[in-house]
Formats: sequence, structure tokens, C-alpha cells
Amino acid sequence: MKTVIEAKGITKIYDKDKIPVHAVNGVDLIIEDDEFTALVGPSGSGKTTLLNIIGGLDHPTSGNVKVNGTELNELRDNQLIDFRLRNIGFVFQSYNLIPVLTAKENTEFIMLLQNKPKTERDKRVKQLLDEVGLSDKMDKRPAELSGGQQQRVAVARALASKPEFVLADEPTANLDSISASNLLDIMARLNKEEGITFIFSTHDQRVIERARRVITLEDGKIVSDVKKEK
Amino acid sequence: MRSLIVIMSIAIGLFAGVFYTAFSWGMIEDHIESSISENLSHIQVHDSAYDKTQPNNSFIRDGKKILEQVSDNKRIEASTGRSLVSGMVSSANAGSGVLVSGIIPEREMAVTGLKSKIVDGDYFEGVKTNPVLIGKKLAEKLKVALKSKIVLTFQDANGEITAGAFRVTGIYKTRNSRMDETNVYVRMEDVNRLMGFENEMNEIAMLLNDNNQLEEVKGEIIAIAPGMKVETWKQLSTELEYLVSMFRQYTYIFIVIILLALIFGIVNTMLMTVLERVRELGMLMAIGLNKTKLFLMIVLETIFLALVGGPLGILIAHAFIVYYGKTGVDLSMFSQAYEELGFSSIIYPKLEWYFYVEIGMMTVIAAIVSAIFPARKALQLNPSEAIRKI
Repeated sequence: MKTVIEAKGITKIYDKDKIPVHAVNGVDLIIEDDEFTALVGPSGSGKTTLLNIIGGLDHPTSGNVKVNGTELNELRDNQLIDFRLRNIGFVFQSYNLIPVLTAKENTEFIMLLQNKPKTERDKRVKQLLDEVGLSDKMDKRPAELSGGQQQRVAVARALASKPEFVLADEPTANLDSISASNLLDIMARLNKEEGITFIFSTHDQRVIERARRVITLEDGKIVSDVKKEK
Repeated sequence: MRSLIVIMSIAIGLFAGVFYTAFSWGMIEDHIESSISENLSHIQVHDSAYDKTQPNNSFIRDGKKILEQVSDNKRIEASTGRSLVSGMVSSANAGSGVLVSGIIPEREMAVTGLKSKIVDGDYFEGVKTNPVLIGKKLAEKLKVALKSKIVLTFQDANGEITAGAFRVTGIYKTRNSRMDETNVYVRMEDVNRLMGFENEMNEIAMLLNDNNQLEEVKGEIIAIAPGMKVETWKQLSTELEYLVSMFRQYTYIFIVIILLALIFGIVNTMLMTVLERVRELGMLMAIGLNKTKLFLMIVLETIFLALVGGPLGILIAHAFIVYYGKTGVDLSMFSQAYEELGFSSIIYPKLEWYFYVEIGMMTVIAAIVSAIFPARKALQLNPSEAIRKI
């Protein structure tokens, strides 16, 4: 097994100078490839903050994160953005698709940023939208898709850049049970068949049940880390 | 909708700026053209000691000979000679200070079109001895009509006071009512007789075929009349030249004001655009849109809006300029005020092509400048917070 993420002594303190809030408090974490991991815990337990720090969207107050051996703290802003572009896929709770672009264009966008040639883009977009079951909705704009379909486009977009891992922040929170189940099926299949590492932050019991590793956070600390049998 | 508002504000702003500029230039050019064709002419020749406030004191000795030589120049459309004296005009009812212009009627007609300005009576016809043309305003002031007798009093070449009785043969009216009140026209032979002149005159005026040949023709006239003061209309009427440069500056100030208003409008709208799209921008930064590309994205969006709104405004303004350039903008309800200032009450807007290029470039620059602040605001977003913004 290859270590994808190695976080050591991660602490994040908000309002350090006024009333300090320890959102994440001395977390050590190792994520290996092929994992299908859920970060769980009550609201305010530090799930999203930890996910943001792992994804290079936020800086820890102390501690460091290595992704594939690269120390994120050492990267300058634009280097970090470029690192995210090439290594990390994101799925957000509110889908965050670009409203004026079609499903195909939303998926393709990240590959445009990577300067991938058109033939490669077209092939991969078709393959990804096929995998998430939206090959017949390629030319639809987000407003013409259901919430579940929009989140599937977001998954396709996250995978378009061929990332090392995908971070999904409450991906099923806005979905009905059928859409959530479909989405989880797709992600579980991608994890199993293509070996894509998924890390979720979630309260959703359906996600927790499907995860093979469940890390529970409370008050910014890991209180349990359970690995299920494959 | 927001983009449409930006496009329309750019279009309306530019339309107003361009049309106002064309209107101003139309007014100024008309004023220059009428000043040249009715009063100044393109080039005038005077004695080197000529002082326009005291024209009686200097004259061109070989005036007639120079006038004949000038007439042979193919680039000169028409030329005439004048004997100018400042003096007094008096009727049975009133008196007034005037400039008496002794003219050669046929030549003057070709140079200033004086005959076409006659509104009552005839052009030096119907009265055999000492006919005089006076302006409508002066006629009202002196309370005289056609055939009325007026007396012109002035100093002759020897400094002696001389006077002559003249009979009104025609009343003229130009666009410049001040000129109508202070100028009277008599035949050159009549005024020369009173002045004691023979071949002398103190002004030769000429109208060119092309204003662009002003300096070249001036050089040729200097060769014909060495030692004389040869001046173009720009030198003769510095106030006209000043007026042109003043209007040019006003135009640019006005355009700058419009562009500043435009900049604030665009900044406001683009800032709203950024603030409304915080989540979208946060997502783009999160997935890998770097700061340079984000900055360029906002700047280019603004430039595209300007590239739609700008040409639209300029095209509408151009259409208006072409239309009103033919029909004219009728301001006759303010005609009295305009005529006092020597302007026509019908304005034909016009604009040189280079101004369209200048305004186009200024709009793009304004768009770039106005995009900088909203783009910088976008760069300051923290993606982890921005993607969660409601």
C-alpha cells in the first residue's frame, strides 16, 4: 500500500488573538491509496476543516501535511493551486457547478486548465459521464439536471484531472435517498474498479455504512479510527 | 441582465460623449467656416504697420497691382481689396461707431457673398451717388430705412476729419448680429475719394480653394507682396484659434468625465458580479484556477462587455451624426443667443474618423482600469470559505 496523505500534528485555531477555537487539535492521519474513508462527527467537530487542510484549501496553524511526499506548507499560493489541479479532486456539498456551462463543459473545464488536448478531453469527458450514468445529459446545463445528477457531474469533474484522491465534503447532504444511493454506488465502483481514493466528511449514515474506514472526530481530535474488512 | 446593464451603460455613455463631441465640432467648424467665408477670408494682406484698431493709419500703396497678381493664382478661388476706416455713422435720429469698409462690389460678392445677405433693397444699385449697405441691427439703431441719408465721418489719410453723405441702398443681415451693428459697406472709390487715396487700399482678402493649402499659398503671397503683413485666418483671429483649442480641451474633459462615470459604473457592476459569484470563484480556485487566470478572467469579461457596449454606442452615435449631419439640429428657439455669439442656430454635427479610434481605445483602457479593483477583490478570496458562502 502506498501512502497518499500523511498529516502530522495538525492544529487549526480560529480567532487566535481573541477567543481561540481549536477546530482541529493535534491530528495525526495517514491515508493510503484505494481507501474509501469517511470522516464523521458532530457539527463543529473539525471534519470540514481537516478536509480543507488535507486538500490544501486551508493552512494549518501548526503541523504539516504531505501529499505523495510533497509538503503542502512549503508551496506558494500559485504552486498550491497548481498542485491541487494535478493531484486532488473536489466534490462539494452544493455541487458548485458553473451554471452557464453544460455537464460536458463543466467536466471538461478542469482539463482545459491542465491544457489537455481536445481529443483527450473529449474522450475522457465521454468516459466519465458514461461512468456516472449521464452520457445522455452531456449537453444539459445544471439547472436542467436534478440534484443527484448535478452531484454526479461534480464527481465526473473531480475525476477529470486524474487526481491522486478525491475529497468530498458532505456529498450526499442535499440529495434524496435514491440519488444518494446511486451516487455512493458510482463512487464505490470507481474506488473498487479503478482504485480511486475517496475521503468524505459526512454525517450521513448511508455513507458511513458504505465506507471501509471511519474516522470519528470530536472537538477537533480523532476519537476513533475503524477499518472494516474489504 | 447584469451584463446587459453594463453594456447599455457603456453604449449610452459613449453615444452621449461621441454625439456631444460631434455636435460641438459641427458648431465650431460652422463658426470657423462662416467666419472665413463671411468675414476673415483665408488670407489677408496688410501694410506691415497695419493696426486693425486704427486701419486709417496704414495702407498698401500698390494695392491694385498686388490684387491683380493675387487674382492670377489658381489656388485662390476669389480675392478682393478693401479700404477700411473706423469712424462714426449718424442719422437724423442717432449715431454710432462703425467700421467703414470700402469694397469692390463684384469681388466682395465672390469673397464674402455679401450680396446674398441683403434682406431689403439692392446691392449697390438704385442709388448712383454714395450708396451704402448697413446691417439690419444698425438700421434699427439709427432708425433708418432704404433711401435714408446717413453721414459717415472719419479721419482721412492726412489725419483731417472728413465726412460724406451716403444713401442706404440695401440692408443686410448676417448670422453675427454684432457684426451687423458695427459694419457698413460703401464702394471703395467713394471712400478712397474722401480719404484722398488713388490706387491704395489697406486690405487684400482672398478665399482659397482648399484650407489645407493655407501655408503654401501664404508663402506665394509673401513673394508677391514683400514687406507686407500676410496673415492666415488663424493669425488674424487668434480668438478663433483659441476657441478651437478651448473646445478641443473641453471635448476631452467631457469625454474623460463620461469615461470616469463609466469606470465607476463598471467597477460597481463588476464588484457585484464578483460578490454574487463568490462560491463559483471559490470553486474555481479550489479545483485549480490560478490567480493569474482568475485575474485575466475578470478583466477579459469586462473588456468583452466594453467591446460589445462600446461599438454599439459609437455606431448609434455615428448613425445620429450621419442623419443630423444632413438635416442639422435645429436650435432656432435659441437663435437670438446663438447669433449674438456668431453661431448658426442650425448645427450640423461632424466628427473626424480618428476620434472614433481614440474613443474606442479610451473605452478599452477604461474597461481594463475598472476591472482591476473587482479582480483584486476576487484574488483575495479564500477558497475554503468562498465555496461555502450562501
